Amino acid sequence: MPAIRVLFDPEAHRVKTGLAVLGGTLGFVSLGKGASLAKLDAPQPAVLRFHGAYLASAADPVGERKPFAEINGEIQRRADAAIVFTLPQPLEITYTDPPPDDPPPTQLNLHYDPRCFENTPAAGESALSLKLPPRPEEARHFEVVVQLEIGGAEEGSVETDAILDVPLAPLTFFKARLVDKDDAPLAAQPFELELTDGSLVSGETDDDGVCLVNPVIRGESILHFKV
Amino acid sequence: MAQELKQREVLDGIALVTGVAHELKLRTRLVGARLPGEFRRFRSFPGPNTLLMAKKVVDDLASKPDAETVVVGHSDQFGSDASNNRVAKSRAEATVALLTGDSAFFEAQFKVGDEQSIWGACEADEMLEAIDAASGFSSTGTSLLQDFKNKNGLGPANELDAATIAKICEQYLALLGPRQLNPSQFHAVGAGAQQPVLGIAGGSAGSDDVDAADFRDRRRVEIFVFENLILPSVASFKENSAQLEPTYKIWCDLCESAFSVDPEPLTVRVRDENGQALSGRQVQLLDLADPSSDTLSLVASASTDSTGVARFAGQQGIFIVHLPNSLFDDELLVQSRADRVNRFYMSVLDSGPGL
Repeated sequence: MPAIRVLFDPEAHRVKTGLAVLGGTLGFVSLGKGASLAKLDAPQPAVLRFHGAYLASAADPVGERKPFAEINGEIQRRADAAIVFTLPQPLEITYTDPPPDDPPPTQLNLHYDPRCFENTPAAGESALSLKLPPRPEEARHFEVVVQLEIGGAEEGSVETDAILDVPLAPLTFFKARLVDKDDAPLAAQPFELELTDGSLVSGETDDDGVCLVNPVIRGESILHFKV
Repeated sequence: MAQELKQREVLDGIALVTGVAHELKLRTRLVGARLPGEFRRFRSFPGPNTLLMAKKVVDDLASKPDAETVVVGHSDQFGSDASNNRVAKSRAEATVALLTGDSAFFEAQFKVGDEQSIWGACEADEMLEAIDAASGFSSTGTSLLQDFKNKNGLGPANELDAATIAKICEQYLALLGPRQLNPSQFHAVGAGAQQPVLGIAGGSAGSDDVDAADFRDRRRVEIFVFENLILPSVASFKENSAQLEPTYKIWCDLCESAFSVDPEPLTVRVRDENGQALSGRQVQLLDLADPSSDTLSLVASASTDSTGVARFAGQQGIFIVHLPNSLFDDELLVQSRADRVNRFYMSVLDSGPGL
C-alpha cells in the first residue's frame, strides 16, 4: 500500500482582502511516496506532528518549519482500505512551547474528518483549537504542515503532505465578559457571534461569564444572545 | 471599561469590535406568575384553576413578540426522586402546551404514562366543566360528557374515545382565546421536589399551613416571562437540584412584577335529578367559622339564574351551601379559595320553589 498522506483542508472565509483561513480539517489519503507503515487491522502508536513557519510575506521562501504541537493516538488500516486514527479520550494537544492564554494567542480551528478519526472531540473541547507558536511582529503568514509518524518512524515524506497557508492579517479573537445588573458573571449564557462575512459561531459563556471566540475574522462582529 | 446596554440593543445583537476585551452589563425585564391551584398528586394536568392566570399570561405575550417564557415545574416530596423529577418536568411541559395551545400534546397525555400519571376521565371531566362554565353553564342532562358529545356530533355512546378527547382538548385550550405563540420561545424545566416556595415580585412565598407548605403548595408551576433574553440562561438552571437552585432563586428575585387575577365568584349550580337547571332557587351561604356554635350564621343569599347558577362574589372560606326550599333541605360543605375556581354543583330532588 502507498504511504499515507495527511490532508489539511482549509476552512476558508471570503473577506474583502481575499480569504481568511480560520482553520482546517485533518484527514488522510493513501497516495504518498513509498510504502505505508500502517498495518491491516493492527493498531500502532502514531503521532500527528504539526510543523509551522512564519513568513513576512506569502512570496517569501519558506524557512525551516519547526514542530510546535502534536497529537498522539493509534492508526490502522481497515479491510475496506479506510485509514483510521483513534484519538485518546480526552484528547489533549501537546505543545512544544505552550503560548500564554492571555492575551488570547493566535489559534486555528481544528476539525477532524470523521471518516478518518475515531473519538473526535466534542464541542467545547480544547483539542478543537490549534494554538500557533508565539508570533513575530513582522509575520504576515503562517504555514503549517502535519507529519504522520507510525511506530516511531516517519510515514512517507512531510513534503508530500498538504500545507495549510494561513494569512494572519484577518485573524484575531473576540472576547466579552457578561455580567448582570449586580455585576455577577452570567455563566452558561448561550450566544451566537456573527462574523463579518455573515457566518455564525455559537457557544456558551464560561463560569466567569466570558465568551471567547478564537479565531474570528477581524472587524466588527455582532453578538446575539437569543439563539 | 463596562459598556451598559439597553434592551433593544441586546435584542438586535450588539456590534462589537474584535481583538479587544469587552465587559457587557446585560439587563432583562421579567414578570412572574405562580399558577394558582396546586396540581393533583402525580398528575401534570393544568386544571381549570390555572386558566384565568394562564389567559393573563397569554394576553400579555400577544404584545411581546420577542418575549421568552420559562415554565418551571415542581413536585411535592412524596414518591421517589425519579418520579418526582418526572412529574415536575411534565407539569412544566403541560403548562407550555396550555399556553401555546398544543392540542396534540394534551391528547398524547391520554395515551402515555403510567397508571398514576396518565390522563383519563378525571382530567376530561375537569376540562368539560370548564368548557361548560365558559359556555354559560349550557349543559343539560346528568352527564357533561354525553352532553358534550351530543353537541359536537360525537356519537351516542357515553365513552371517552379518541375523537372525543381530541375535541375536549381543542375546546379546553381554546378557552385561552386565539393565539399564535412561537413554541420555540417557551422553555419547560423541571425543578424536582426540593425548591422552596419563594416569593415572586415581593409576593407571598406560600402558605403558612405546614402541610400545604410541605406538600400541596409544592405541586406547582411558575411562569417567568422575560421581555427580551433569559438571564441567567435556561442552560444555567440545574434541573432537579437537591439544593436551592441559584438560577431559580435569581429568577424569583428578578421579577419586577407578578401576574395576578381577581378571584372568581363562588358559584353554585343547582340541577334536578335529570340534570336540568333549577332557576329561581334560593341558595344560602352559612358560616362555619365557629364550629363550637350551635347555629350557623347566614353570610349571603342569592337566587339561581336561568342556568341554575347562584353567584357569591368575594367569599372565601369554608361554608355550608344551603338550599332552604329544597325537599330535603340540601346542604353541601364547600371551601372557597382566592386561588381557585370555586365552582360547585348540587343535584337535588326537584321539589319546586317554595315547597
